[in-house]
Amino acid sequence: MRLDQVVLPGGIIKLKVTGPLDIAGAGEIDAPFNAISSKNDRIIVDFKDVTFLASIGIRLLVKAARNIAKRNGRLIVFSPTDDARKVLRSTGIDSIVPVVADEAAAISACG
Amino acid sequence: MFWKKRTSEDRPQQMEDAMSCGEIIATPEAPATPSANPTSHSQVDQMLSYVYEKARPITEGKLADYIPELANVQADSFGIAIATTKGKVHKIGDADFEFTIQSTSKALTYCMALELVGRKEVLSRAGVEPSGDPFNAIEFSPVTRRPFNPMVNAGAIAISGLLRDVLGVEKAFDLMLDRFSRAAGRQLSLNESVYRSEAATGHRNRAIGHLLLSVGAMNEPVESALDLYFKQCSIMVTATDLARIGATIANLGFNSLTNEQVFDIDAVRDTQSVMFTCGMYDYSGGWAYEVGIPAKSGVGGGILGVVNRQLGVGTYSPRLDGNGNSVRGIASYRMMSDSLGLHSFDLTNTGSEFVSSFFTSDRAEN
Repeated sequence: MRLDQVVLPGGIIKLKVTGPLDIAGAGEIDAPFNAISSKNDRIIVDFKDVTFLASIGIRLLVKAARNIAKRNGRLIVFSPTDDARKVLRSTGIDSIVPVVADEAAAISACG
Repeated sequence: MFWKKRTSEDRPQQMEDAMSCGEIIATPEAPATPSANPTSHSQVDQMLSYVYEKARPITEGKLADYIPELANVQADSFGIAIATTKGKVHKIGDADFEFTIQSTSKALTYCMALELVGRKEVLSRAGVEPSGDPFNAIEFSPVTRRPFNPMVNAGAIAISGLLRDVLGVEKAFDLMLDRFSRAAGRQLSLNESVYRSEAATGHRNRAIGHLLLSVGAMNEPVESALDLYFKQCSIMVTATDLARIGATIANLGFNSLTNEQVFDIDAVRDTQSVMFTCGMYDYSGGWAYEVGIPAKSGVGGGILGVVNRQLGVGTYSPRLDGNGNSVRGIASYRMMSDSLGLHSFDLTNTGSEFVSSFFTSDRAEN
C-alpha cells in the first residue's frame, strides 16, 4: 500500500492511493491519511490504482470526508475503476463522498 | 467489492509527471503486486489468507475440559470457511477437520422447534432475552419462570424436551440429525464417545432438566430429553459444514447445494434474531458491537455466522476464552467483518432495498 501526496496549484492536495485498500492497506495509510485530512480543506484522491476496496477502507475515506466537511472543505475521489465505482454507488457512499471521472473534474468539484 | 486492476497504460501522463515530484507518505514492506486479472474468487481467498495468518499466531485460551474427550483434540487446529447463498465455498486451514457441534446445535434445534410448533408454544418453553449469565447457569427469569433464551443450556434443554415431545423419543434424534445434515448438504454423524461422556458427566444439565420440570417448562421423563440434548451436542461437523449451514439459514432456509428447502422462512428469521442477541454466551453484546452478525458458538471450538441473504461463515479453533467462545474464531470474525463490511450497521450496509421502494416519490421530489 502506498500513499503519495502532491500539492497542486491553488493549494489543493492530491493524494494517490496505490494497492489494495484492505485491512492491512487501510491500517498502513490510516494515520497519514487522517493527518493530511485534518490539516487540509481541499483534497482530491486518485483511486485509479486502488486494486481492492474493503469495508474498512471505505470507512477511512468517509471519516476523512466528514471531518473535512465540518470545516466546509471538500474531499473528492476521482478515476475509480468501473468496479470500484459500482461498489461506491451500490453502497451509497457516492452520496457522502463525491466521485468524479478524472483529475480535472475533481479539481473543479473541489472549488 | 472486487475488481480488475487497470494496466499502467491507462495512466495519464500528467499524473506520472505529478507523481514524479510527489512525496511518498506510506510505502509497502513489499510492493503491491496484484495479479493482472484477479477474480472475485482469488480476492476472497486473499482476504481469508490474511485473516488466517493474522489469527493463527494467537495461542491464548484453553480447551474445554469438562469432559475428557473435548480436551483430547488438536489444540492448534484452525480453519475458516465462507459459503455463499449461491453454493460457492471459500476455505482455508483445517476447514474440513471434524469436531463436535456442541452449543451451535442450539440454533438449529430452535429453528426446528419454531417450525414444528410455532412461536407461541416455543416461547412458552424459553424466552428471547439475553441472560447476562454464563452458558451453564441454573437461572430462570423471575418473571416468566422460564429460561431466558434458547441459546444457553437451560433454554436449549427446554427446546430439546419440546422436540422430544413432538417428534417422539424413538425418532427425535434421527430426524434432528437428518435436518442438520440437510442444512449442511452432507450426511453428518454422532460422536458416540463424546455423547457417552456428556451423558455420564452432565450432572449440571440434569439438574437444569429437573428444574425445568418443576416449573412446567418440560414434560416427563426428563432423562430422554437430556439424552436428546447430549446427542445433539455430539454431532460432528466441520467449519465448512457450519458455513454451509449458515448459508442455508441466510438463504431463507434453502440449501443451494442440494436445491432443498431445509428450514421454514419464518423460523430462520426468528432464529437469526436470537442468535444476534444471545448467540455468543456472555459476550453476545460485545459480539453485536464488534462483529455485528447473527452467530452461535460452541465449546467444541466452532462459531457459525450468518449474513442474511448472502453468506454463511464457519470457524474452528478449539482454544476458548472465559466465556466459552473460540479465541481465534472471534479474532477472525472481527477481521472478516471489517473487510467485507458484514456488520449490520456498517456504513456500506444500506439496509433493505424494500424500504426504499416505498419512498420513490420522496426521491422524485428531491
